[in-house]
Amino acid sequence: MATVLTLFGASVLVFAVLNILPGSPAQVILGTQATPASVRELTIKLGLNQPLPLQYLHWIGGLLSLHLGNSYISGQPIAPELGAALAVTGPLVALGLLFGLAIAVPTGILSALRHRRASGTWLAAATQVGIAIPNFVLGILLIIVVAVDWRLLPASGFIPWSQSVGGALRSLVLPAISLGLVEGAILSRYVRTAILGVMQADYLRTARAKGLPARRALVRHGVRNASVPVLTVLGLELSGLIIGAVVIEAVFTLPGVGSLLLSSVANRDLITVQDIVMLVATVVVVTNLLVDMLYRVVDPRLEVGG
Amino acid sequence: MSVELGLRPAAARGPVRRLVSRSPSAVFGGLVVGGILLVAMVATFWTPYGPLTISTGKELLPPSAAHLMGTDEYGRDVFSRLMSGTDLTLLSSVGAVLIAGLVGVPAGLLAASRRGAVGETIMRLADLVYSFPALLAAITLVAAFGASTVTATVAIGVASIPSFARVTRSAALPVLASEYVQAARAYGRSPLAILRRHVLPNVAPFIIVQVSLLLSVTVLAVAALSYLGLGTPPPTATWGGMLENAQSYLYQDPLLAVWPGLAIALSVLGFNALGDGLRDLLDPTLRGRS
Amino acid sequence: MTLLRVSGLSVDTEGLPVLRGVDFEVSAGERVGLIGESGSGKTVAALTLMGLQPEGFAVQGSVEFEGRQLVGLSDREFSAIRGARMAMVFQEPMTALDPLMRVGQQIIDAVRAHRRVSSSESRRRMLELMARVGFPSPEEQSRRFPHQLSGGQRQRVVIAIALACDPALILADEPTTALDVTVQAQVLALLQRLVAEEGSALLLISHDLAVVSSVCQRVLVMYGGTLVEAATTDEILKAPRHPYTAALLQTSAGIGARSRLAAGRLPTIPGSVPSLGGFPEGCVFRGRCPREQARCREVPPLVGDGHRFACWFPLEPGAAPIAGTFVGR
Repeated sequence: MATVLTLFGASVLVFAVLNILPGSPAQVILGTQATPASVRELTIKLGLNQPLPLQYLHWIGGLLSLHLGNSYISGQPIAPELGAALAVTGPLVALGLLFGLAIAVPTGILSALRHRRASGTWLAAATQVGIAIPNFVLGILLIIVVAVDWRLLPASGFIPWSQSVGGALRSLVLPAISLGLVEGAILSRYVRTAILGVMQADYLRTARAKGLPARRALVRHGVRNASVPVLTVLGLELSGLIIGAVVIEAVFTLPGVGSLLLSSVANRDLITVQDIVMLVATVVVVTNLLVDMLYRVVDPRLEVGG
Repeated sequence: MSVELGLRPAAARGPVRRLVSRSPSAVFGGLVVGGILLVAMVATFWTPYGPLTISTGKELLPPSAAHLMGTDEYGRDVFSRLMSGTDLTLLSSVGAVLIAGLVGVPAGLLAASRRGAVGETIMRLADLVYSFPALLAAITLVAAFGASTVTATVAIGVASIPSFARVTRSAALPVLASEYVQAARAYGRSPLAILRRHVLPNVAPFIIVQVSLLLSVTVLAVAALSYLGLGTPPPTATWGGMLENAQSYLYQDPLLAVWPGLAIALSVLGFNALGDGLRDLLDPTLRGRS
Repeated sequence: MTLLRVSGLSVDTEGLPVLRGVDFEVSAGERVGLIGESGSGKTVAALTLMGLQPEGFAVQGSVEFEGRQLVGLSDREFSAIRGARMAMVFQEPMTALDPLMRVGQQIIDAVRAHRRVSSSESRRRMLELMARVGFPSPEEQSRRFPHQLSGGQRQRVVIAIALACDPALILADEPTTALDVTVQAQVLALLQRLVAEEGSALLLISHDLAVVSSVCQRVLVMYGGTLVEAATTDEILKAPRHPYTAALLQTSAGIGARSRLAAGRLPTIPGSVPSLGGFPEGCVFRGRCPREQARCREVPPLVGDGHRFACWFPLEPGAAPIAGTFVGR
């Protein structure tokens, strides 16, 4: 219920911000040489002469029935273009998340297990530096080293899935690493704190008193218990990944949702911007809802009431 | 089992060493941030070359004594541009934090002192804005109002309001519930006087920490927006814009991209470390938490 | 038959002594109480016997259990003994169980830690254990999570875990302290009955002389990380030799102090237990002891045959307990 309300509020906010300015989209589409008559005609055709609340209802009704409308610029329907872009961004975010987890879980556990030793402190310091490197800076550094110097992977562009799955994956490797490393560094600190918490827990001592060796006891009870606090930040991390993808797609010139958004902003194709911003906001809100539900599955104490 | 040893080896040493040993990250962050402030101040009055001065025949020079970080594709001095970019980045980031603070802190105080419908509405609104990632909000605003320094600053500022409101509210709640505030109320002090005399001083440290942490976020967002071409338009020198330009010359001159990248990463690290360190100094119980 | 022989057991952390030269024995099937105030080192002693002392605690001396030297064993070697031959019941039933795991599974884990049995066999054993510790419907209750059980029920689960592999020795560290008074007696009685049925030995650790004396045949008195007196429960109650034991007896509300309670005065031992590293040279009770003399600067050895005590100026056997200091209310 709260989720629906949030999304409703978000849609009003987005619509208001993008339609608050007087300028006519029809004028933008037709250019400065257009006659006032043709601008008027297009305005009526696009339904832009109607009052704003009606325009809003028209837009939101379309979204709910999955009619995203037509681009102001190309006149083409937005949905197929957005679908093609999702085929790039979706896998990019998924790979970024995988990579982030692949970094965060082992380093977080290791720096917790060795928190009394120098190696653990160094690992924790390294994650601190990792957090500070912006993903787009890292992306460019990776391009310089891996793509320009070693010529191992493509520096930019995307080979469509339909052409070559391997090629598509290859063009996503560097973007996914740039995207995942920062989130991984942040997550690593949460994993470390969570594991340290489990290591000091009484139930771990009980498990060892049963005769489980230290490592086995940690695996048996640590995975579940440590995942509870980590899950709570995972939702935030996911929104970080999604918004990070917008920037990373620009770095690697990937034809994803972010690139579509940026080119629409540049062309002042406001209806497309409106659709994409709403899509991203929905994904972020729904992701947080899903994480919240997962959280309840893992932790039985939240079963009732909550 | 925790054992209080009561040993204080640092107490015998000087105050500087004591600070270093108590919070190395605050000291490190303070030094970095101080350095950035210094560069920005100097850049306001003087840079080795004009940041916009084009010199033909001097394009893409490697670093030398004359051009510490070399020159870009128009023969402009990279070091001068970086200095001037520091100035702009800082102004924009501080502006954004100022906007966020000027709206967020009063909103947080109000939400804390009016527990009913008003407070509830404020926090719901904060949650709503919070569900928009800052960069997405900024892109939306830029789409509506066009790319400029002011739009970028305002956009990032608005998107950062909720984090101020939340921190202020959670810091103010325990103060408002405390006995001395109850006593002040009983004496008939006005709510505004209570806020000024009791709540603000107690909340201030948390706000200072939040300012430092948020600056690292806004520096990053300012750089990202100008990198995406949604911030200050060229030819003005911005870190993000320099990075974007340099990307076209990665094969000829990769160093061109390294300098602004380094500047962004170092400032983010500096503000982050300062904020973390200050938080540790303020509240030792939070030490080690992320 | 001696089951456990502890000699010269010392534990240090960061150069500060927590236990100093502790000696005692536990015979098979015997019930021994270890009594002391908080900070006396009794919990560290129990954890050290289990090889579960906190990180950074250095152990010296000898712990011989079933003829085997335990000090210096690796974690893996120790794991074969923990739970199988020596088990532990912890003080805090609220936190001793994994909150995210069903209690039945946590008992099954204890069974399978040492026995290679089928899952249906370990399940059968789990249900049997739950029934033995007093769950009326084990089938249904084993599927509960810890937060769905009461404190007493949780402690029964912890006891079931300890009993899972028929250990020869059970260490119980303040097993009833965290429970409601009415539940305390039930859990204590259960523990006593089960130990007797299994023929296991019990080392019951408590600050409460009444608890220890109702269950145990022999009592060890600990103060400042040292053993100050060891004797049968009868001798400790009727003829304590160490001034600390005597003072402890007088402060114990259940024993002998009722009349003074009625007079509205609570007996206390003057001063307080020093913090770690703050104990005096020589006898650890120095400074709080009414019988202190110059010789107490030397460490008194634990002497005696059967009834052992560490004091240069012990109370006469059979003499009335010394007068403590009484603080009016």
